[in-house]
Amino acid sequence: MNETFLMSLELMWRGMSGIFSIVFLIYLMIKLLNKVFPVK
Amino acid sequence: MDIFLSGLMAVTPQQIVMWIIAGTLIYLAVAKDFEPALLLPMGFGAIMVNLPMSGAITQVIQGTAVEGVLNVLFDMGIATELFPLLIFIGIGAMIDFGPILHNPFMLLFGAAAQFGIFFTVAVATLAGFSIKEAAAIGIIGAADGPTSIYVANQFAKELLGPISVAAYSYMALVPVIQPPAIRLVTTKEERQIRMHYKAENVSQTTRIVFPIVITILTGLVAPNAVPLIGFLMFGNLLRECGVLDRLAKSAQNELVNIVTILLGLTISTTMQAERFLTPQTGLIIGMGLIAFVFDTIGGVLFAKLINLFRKEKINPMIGAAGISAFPMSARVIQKMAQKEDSQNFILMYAVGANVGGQIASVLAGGLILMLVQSL
Repeated sequence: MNETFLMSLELMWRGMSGIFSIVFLIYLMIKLLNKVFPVK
Repeated sequence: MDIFLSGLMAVTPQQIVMWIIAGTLIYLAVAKDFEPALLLPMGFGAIMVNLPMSGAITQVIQGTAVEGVLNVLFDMGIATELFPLLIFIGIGAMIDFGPILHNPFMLLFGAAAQFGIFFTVAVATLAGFSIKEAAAIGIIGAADGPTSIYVANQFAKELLGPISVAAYSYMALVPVIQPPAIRLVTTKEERQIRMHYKAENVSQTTRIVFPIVITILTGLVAPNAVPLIGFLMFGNLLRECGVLDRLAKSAQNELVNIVTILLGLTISTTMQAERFLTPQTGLIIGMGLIAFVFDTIGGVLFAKLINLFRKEKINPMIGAAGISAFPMSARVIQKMAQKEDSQNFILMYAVGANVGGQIASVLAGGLILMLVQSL
């Protein structure tokens, strides 16, 4: 199979897993911020 | 007399085609209100750069290069990435991250709706583009003009013109592109799912700490994303800190307006007939559409996947709002929801996903820059 295409599939896997990982970290960070700095 | 006719005699058929394309961009901006702030300067600039021996672009006269003002602006503002980044300060100053801060779950839809980027990269490689060119084309799916320009400038400068035209045109066409794509992967019952919204406040401290923490967090994980996310979050900090209202307003108005004018005009240097009128341009415009459609489908399918594990179901159309075109995509989703059920109000969830899409698209740009270089 086309080598560039295989690279693009690897990019898809690493890119989507990377975005979800960072977004999940941001999600946890927001949860933490809302706990540490609640609305008074 | 000959000297006055030399320009007329030098007009090429390709330049006339570019005048028609430029006229179309101006028509779409003025008559249809399609991203007028960018398409109008791009259209007018395209006319300026496609006039024979135009002094607006660099010309070689008797062996000496005479620099054109648009090339000077290009070298200064786009080759250095300055203009897209300055626009991010303004965008950051305009965004209210409140919907994400009190409902961070919506961020996940922003991540899912970046699928179109990577799907399009794969399609572009099958069409014969190199991995860097394919990545630059795929990033049209970020639905975010400055990110597209930022990435394309690093990976495929020669494709900057068609990529910019596609990115801004499709952003304006979100209300046309998204509804059929959503209907394709949802049932009427799914589109009628109601979601109850409970308004909650977020503390001022959270709003101030958020942009700082996100910049540090993202910078540690994806250093290449720092300029993109950092400028976006700096603009947001100006807005939320509460002591720099004057600067925040300048970033939202004067800064964005001035840079948008310069960006639009300057991008047009990449629309010279000999560079723009190639078979590649048609392919890129077509693949831009694929990117937007698969962003939408990716977001919706992710919402349907989440529904398999949730008691309280999510209206899967929310997933489609995870693209960066703000607030247009959220409005489209709300309009579709009300068309199915006039009492269904999912706007606030859609806005949350849409804001999540703005963060995720910038992250996608940074990650692509990092990952492609490491492949």
